[in-house]
Amino acid sequence: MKNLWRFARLGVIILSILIFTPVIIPNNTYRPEIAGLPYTLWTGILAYFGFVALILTGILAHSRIYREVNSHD
Amino acid sequence: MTKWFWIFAIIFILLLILASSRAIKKNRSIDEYMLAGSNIGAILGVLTYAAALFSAFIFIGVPDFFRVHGVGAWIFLPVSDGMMFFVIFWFGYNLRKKARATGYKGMAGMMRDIFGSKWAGFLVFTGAFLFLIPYVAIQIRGMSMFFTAIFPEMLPSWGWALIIVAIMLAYSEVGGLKAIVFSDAVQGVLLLTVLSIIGYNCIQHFGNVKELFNQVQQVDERLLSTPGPQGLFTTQFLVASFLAILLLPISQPQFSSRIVVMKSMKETYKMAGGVSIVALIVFVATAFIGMYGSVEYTSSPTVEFVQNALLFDQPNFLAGLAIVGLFAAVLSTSNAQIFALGSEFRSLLKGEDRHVLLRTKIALFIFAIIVMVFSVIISDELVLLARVSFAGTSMLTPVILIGVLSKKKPGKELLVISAIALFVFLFSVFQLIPENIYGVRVDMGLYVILFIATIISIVTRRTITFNF
Repeated sequence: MKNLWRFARLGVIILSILIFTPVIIPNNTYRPEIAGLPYTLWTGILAYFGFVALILTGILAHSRIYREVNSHD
Repeated sequence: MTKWFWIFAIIFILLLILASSRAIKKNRSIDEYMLAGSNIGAILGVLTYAAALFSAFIFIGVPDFFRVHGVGAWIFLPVSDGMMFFVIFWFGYNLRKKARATGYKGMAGMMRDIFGSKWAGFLVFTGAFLFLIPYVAIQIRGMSMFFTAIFPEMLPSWGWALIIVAIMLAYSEVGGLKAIVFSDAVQGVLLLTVLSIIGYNCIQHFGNVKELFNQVQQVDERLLSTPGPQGLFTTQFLVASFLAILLLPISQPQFSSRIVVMKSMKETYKMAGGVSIVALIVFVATAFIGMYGSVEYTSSPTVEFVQNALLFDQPNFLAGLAIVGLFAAVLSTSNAQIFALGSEFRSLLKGEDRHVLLRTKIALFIFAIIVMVFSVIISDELVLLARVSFAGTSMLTPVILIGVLSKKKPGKELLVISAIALFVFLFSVFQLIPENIYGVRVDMGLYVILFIATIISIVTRRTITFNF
């Protein structure tokens, strides 16, 4: 579980950096499009899904690791 | 449309009365009034957090932002919010642990106790006051503009503002946080329903998503990428906005208090996950409404675009529901913010509960009057003013974050650097100093300085064993 928590934390940091690079926001470029969505929009939506997946992974790991503390809650 | 508006308005008011009657109990303690008995479950938690987050800003500001600045708005807000939901449960865990140890009444009071200095409490309260009051005023301004445009003969703009401030005040004075949470739940459901249907209708207008973006491309190709037609979405702007938004659960008391009042950490986890999914639906809908506006209302003023896209281009019953939805959104967000300010004020007070409660209620009344005045004189730039509020309060992050995470008493130098950052940022807002210095945005530069100063403070004083 600790590795999963480490993976989630590392994942959000890497994704947070990635979204401000030309990988997600290339200036004045909207191709390639997917299902009609311009590049920055579909990659941005993918990034959002990435955050949601990392949140759910993080919650799963965090709730197990800190179960003892949480049980007093 | 007017008939449907009154039908839904009456239903909404009845729901509000029902919610407040469920919340009011005889002989309520001050903690039941201010902190809802700290017994909020996951579903109510998701809806109240979403309602505090999504306001007139989401109904009016964000679609307009997509319309004017293009798809880069997705990076500006939804992606930043995605990261923020991670902060909710990570910071939430640490905050709840600290709150249990210190007896949380409000963030300002907690920081005063942790730092052992009344200045810490005063600084946190001042930051919240300076940047939440304009934010509440923006909501009310947005709604009154909208209502004046729809019902031009009925009331002047300040008349609508007065109505919402009066309802907001009565509701928070009588019902307390529990009533606000219930009204948030009603608003959350309304917001999700209305925006989803309108977003869907906006796509249907063009047949499909591909055709919608083909039309946007013909209007202005720059809307499909960053930095957008007006060049707003530079990397620096997006990074600074990202930091301001992801720090919201730490820096703005209406969010941190919603984390503390959850029934348990298990419910807080569910709340963080739930809000991230609800937000996705809301943001996708606002993006399509905005893109629809880029084609149909390319150079219209904001009010004209919003009233057409949300009302006149929609079926009558939906338009009626949208007006009530907007009213509910403004009411619940304003309530959340004003009440959070009241909680912060209360946490600084000492004395008998009865007297503290009375003084808190008087303070709520005074805050509401100040908001009313601001809402009449403030500018119409909804999104950018909201961003100023996010960025302003985020200058307090070193104090609150280190206060919550530290095992020992944190260094008072954090108070000094946060106070300086807060006022430097304020000066830049009022253009007493330039917004960019040597090509660096003031808020971005302040984040870097605050980060370095905080690290030095932690290392030299060894105040923190990081859980992160």
